[in-house]
Amino acid sequence: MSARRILVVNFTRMGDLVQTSPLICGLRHHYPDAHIALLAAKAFSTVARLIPELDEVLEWDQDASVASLFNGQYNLDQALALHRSWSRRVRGDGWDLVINVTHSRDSAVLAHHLATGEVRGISIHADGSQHVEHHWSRYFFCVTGNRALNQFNLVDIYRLIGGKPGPGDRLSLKPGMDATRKISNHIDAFGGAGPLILVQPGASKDNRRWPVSAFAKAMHKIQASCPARFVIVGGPSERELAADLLNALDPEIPANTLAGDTSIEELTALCAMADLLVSNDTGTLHIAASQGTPSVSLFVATALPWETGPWMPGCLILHPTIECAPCSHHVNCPHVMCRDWIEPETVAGASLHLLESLGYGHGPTEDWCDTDKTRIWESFLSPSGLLDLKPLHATSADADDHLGRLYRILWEAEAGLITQAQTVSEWQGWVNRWSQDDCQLDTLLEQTAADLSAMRELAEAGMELVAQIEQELSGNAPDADRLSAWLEQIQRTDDRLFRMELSRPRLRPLGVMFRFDKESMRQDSEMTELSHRMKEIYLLLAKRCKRMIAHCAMAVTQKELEPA
Amino acid sequence: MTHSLHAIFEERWPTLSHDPRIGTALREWKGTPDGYRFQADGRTLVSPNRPEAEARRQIDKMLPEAAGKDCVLVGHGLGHTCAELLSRGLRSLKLLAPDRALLAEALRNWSQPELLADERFQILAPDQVDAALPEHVEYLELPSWRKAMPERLANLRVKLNRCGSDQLRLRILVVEPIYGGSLPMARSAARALESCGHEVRSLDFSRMEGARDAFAQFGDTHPGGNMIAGEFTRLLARMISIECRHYKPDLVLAMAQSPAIPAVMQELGSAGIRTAFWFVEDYQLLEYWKGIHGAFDFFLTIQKGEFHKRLAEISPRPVRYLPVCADTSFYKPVDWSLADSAPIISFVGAGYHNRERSFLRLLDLPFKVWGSDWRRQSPVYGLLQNEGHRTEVELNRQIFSNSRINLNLHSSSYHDGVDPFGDFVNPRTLEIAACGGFQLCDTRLHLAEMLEPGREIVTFSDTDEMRTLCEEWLEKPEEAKLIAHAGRVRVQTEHGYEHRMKELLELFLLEGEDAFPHARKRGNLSGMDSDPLLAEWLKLHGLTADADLDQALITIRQSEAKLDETGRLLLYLGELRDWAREKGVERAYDRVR
Repeated sequence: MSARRILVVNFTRMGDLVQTSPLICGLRHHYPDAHIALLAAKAFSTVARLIPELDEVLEWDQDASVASLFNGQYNLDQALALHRSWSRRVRGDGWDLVINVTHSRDSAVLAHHLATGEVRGISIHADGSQHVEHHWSRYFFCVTGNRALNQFNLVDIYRLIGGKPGPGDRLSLKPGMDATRKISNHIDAFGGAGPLILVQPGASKDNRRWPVSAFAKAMHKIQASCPARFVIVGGPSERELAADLLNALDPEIPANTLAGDTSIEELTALCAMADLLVSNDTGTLHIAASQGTPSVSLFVATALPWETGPWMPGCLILHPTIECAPCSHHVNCPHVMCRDWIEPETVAGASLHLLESLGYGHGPTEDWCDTDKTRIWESFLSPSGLLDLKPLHATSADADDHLGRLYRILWEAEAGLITQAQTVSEWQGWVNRWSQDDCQLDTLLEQTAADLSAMRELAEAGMELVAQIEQELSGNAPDADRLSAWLEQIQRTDDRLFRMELSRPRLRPLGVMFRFDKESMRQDSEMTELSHRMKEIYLLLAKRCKRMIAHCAMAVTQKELEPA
Repeated sequence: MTHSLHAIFEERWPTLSHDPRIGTALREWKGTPDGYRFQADGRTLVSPNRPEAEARRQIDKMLPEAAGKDCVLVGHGLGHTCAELLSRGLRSLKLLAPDRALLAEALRNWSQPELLADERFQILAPDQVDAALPEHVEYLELPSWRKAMPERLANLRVKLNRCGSDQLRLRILVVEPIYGGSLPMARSAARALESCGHEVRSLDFSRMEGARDAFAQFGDTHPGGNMIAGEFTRLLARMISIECRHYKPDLVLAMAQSPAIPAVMQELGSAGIRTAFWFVEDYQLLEYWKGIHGAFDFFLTIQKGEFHKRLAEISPRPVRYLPVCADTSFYKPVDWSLADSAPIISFVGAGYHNRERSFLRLLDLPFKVWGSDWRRQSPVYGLLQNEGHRTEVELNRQIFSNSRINLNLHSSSYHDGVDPFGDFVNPRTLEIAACGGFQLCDTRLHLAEMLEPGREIVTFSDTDEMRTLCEEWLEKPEEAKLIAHAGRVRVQTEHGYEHRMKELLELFLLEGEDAFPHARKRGNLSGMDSDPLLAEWLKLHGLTADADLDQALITIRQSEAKLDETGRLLLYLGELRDWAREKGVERAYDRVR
């Protein structure tokens, strides 16, 4: 706990910046006297300035940086001068700890350049080669190719990169008095009675927008059961969309729009005053969560509730059950059918359910969540302090749901968030949340356990090879040819592990983490130290396989002993 | 009034009034006849019904704040636009008439005679313009003239230094041929585009020459084997497509003989990449233009007239005249370095029928010939130097610079002497002039537009005249030097590759400002300092001071040493550049700003 100067690097968009704030809260908790700064893209630095735990917000001017390289008068000398001057300003005396939650290669170089101490996240070695440092940063990259098996919220991954999550971690944005006063006046002028519901029909991409007509239908249904006041929100580019929604509403519904007319700070103040937000997966969703405002959110196209659901208990997240959901980030779907799978009745039902819990109206009809087209997740905080989801929908769990949970238990236990003894109760708790189960699950778990055994054998073979190298090195005159032969065998073992990871997607999280661990060794130059690290890495993989095999067995046994 | 109009011209613009076409027109002036249409190639240049309103509209759009300004207007009608401009308080107005014959036609029907006496007003023909316009002068082009004669307007823009392309930094892919005369032209074009400030990449197919020959030979010796050669061309064309996917150029410039097949070029066009093909060939000898010209945004030719008519019959796609030029960075006066004394009369070029026949007339003169493909049985073979091998360009420029007379006879396989219908000018004409060499050249239809006969070059119409002029000019070395010097100045100021490439880009820009939708505008990095440590770092790593980022990155990646601050920053710039390219962010740069 010696870091005096801590820098968090986040060049992503508004929502991601808000999601970084619990990490900053946690850092403040772990390092109460440190100087904590956030380096953010200039375009979104206004959001960063609303995080009260920060001592400093530094800006990365993307326009100027890119312009210096692509300007017609391009001159390496000048581009370098610009960046040297900027980076020296940002670096100051150097940062004892740099946490890079951006995943671009340029940020890797920058993180290394700015640090005098530890870097967590993507970085480079001293020779320029790239690697990812820290278990949870590696996990962050691991999620990209294993979305179906991840059950950690992005906010929690960020928090875990910072250290053990603290009880005071929260999405932390604080609007100023002026913004609060301005919005308060506006709401007063709006008048009317009943709960104040914000509606966000926009999203960063068109395919992530639930249709305006569906929003309008849902609003009509809410209004029919629980008279409310609606304010449509969004950015300047969403003014037209907001106007379309307003036009689609019955004139008697009390609704107006502030889309494009609020600053980020004012939007934060508005969220603080609202009772409920109905939104696509947007930055507004996270801002609302930061103000303790519950939400009903619609996750379509690439959006996935486990990853970016609002980090707040008591929110409802709707996700279509369509086979292809979520879209891969590499796919540009020409027919975003999943948007139509979420029905206005479900959104209205979810909204009425939350409004009732807030003391408004009489709630939805009892069967509001009886739909096979949408999964309805309710967020809550687990005993380990991480966000978790429980299904309110009637559809059954599938193999990835359960395997994802087993992985979550594995990673939580490894991080010390739960004890090994608690793993069984964790699993029981999970299974009990489901009203139905997939009858094919046992077969699948047994198959996965068999695959894991094969992976474990390879890991142990790797350990054996390293042991032989260590023995050779401990002698008086190590034989270079023998060492070389063993290293080649290690390479072949790693290739087999890689092929196994590719051909068995359910083993991929272990395979990816293993490769990240191995990449991190490149910096070491001493052969003895290198072999020691290598042995640790094979051992870790073997242990993880062993635990997952046990988890699979536990899952099968528990089901037999205690049917859901 | 007729008299006074003529008198005004004689007093104010004597060089124009002495042009017989203009003199006659002025004498015939009677005002604008009813229903008269001022046209060029059937295209109406001024509204026949409401010319005043048209002029007002144009000026409102082009120069709403005219008072006190100096202005050059390219193109004219019958005086309405000029009168409107001057009525708005211009300080001075120069009317630049792109075509003397059309100026005469306009003056014959001029509607604003008073205007000609206005001291603020001046008329110039294109050949009277020889300098860049000062920056403060407003430069206007009439839209109807842009459409009527785009090549001339593009040429004038370059001459007057009013290029729109100077404001852009384009990414250009030059597609080279596998071999042949257009290969060095492609390379000179790429060099010139780069020196104009654009980012240029060349697709070098010269390495494929052996493969091409092998496939051709296979085709020749195997029935049905010719299709292999076609497949080979298609394969190379796919390379263009793949290169474009990665490089994302604003423009692809394909040279004659390059494997730019229509299907691929159309695919690029659909992807928003602009395309041009420079057909530096004689259309009557090589006819592959018939199959390709519709596939390009611009098809550029070194011939016009009949050729353009025939192209228009096939496709409505734009065709433009873009004559050859000289690489003035290479073709310049150099000393003679060979052991033999410098030539008296020389010719450099391949043996063609008309050359073999014509040069018989010079066998008794001190005449030497360099080049390949001369027949051994021809008496001219005895004049051949260098054992009949094709000469290197270095030797060419020495010959051009040091011969007392450089002979230039355009090739023909169908005539015994000068081709009476020859139109285009070959590159050698301009290369000799660029080297400051005195030149006797056969008459060509398009030559006078490029070099003025009698002042910048001397021409002959038949072999008798060729012989006579050789004898005459050997006797007048000092006069020959003056002509050679004037020719060199003209090439340097108008016929370098830089000029031609700018003209090419101006042709696109005459379409409008969005001709290159993704082009980056040149900004000003004023205020940016130089880096104090870069030079030291480059030196330390064995790189020259002008090394670019790519060279620096290669050095970094090859080294396993610990990176210092400069190394880290260079690596960062490299990653940032790649990221910006992957995301397409750099293309939005001017809009982001």
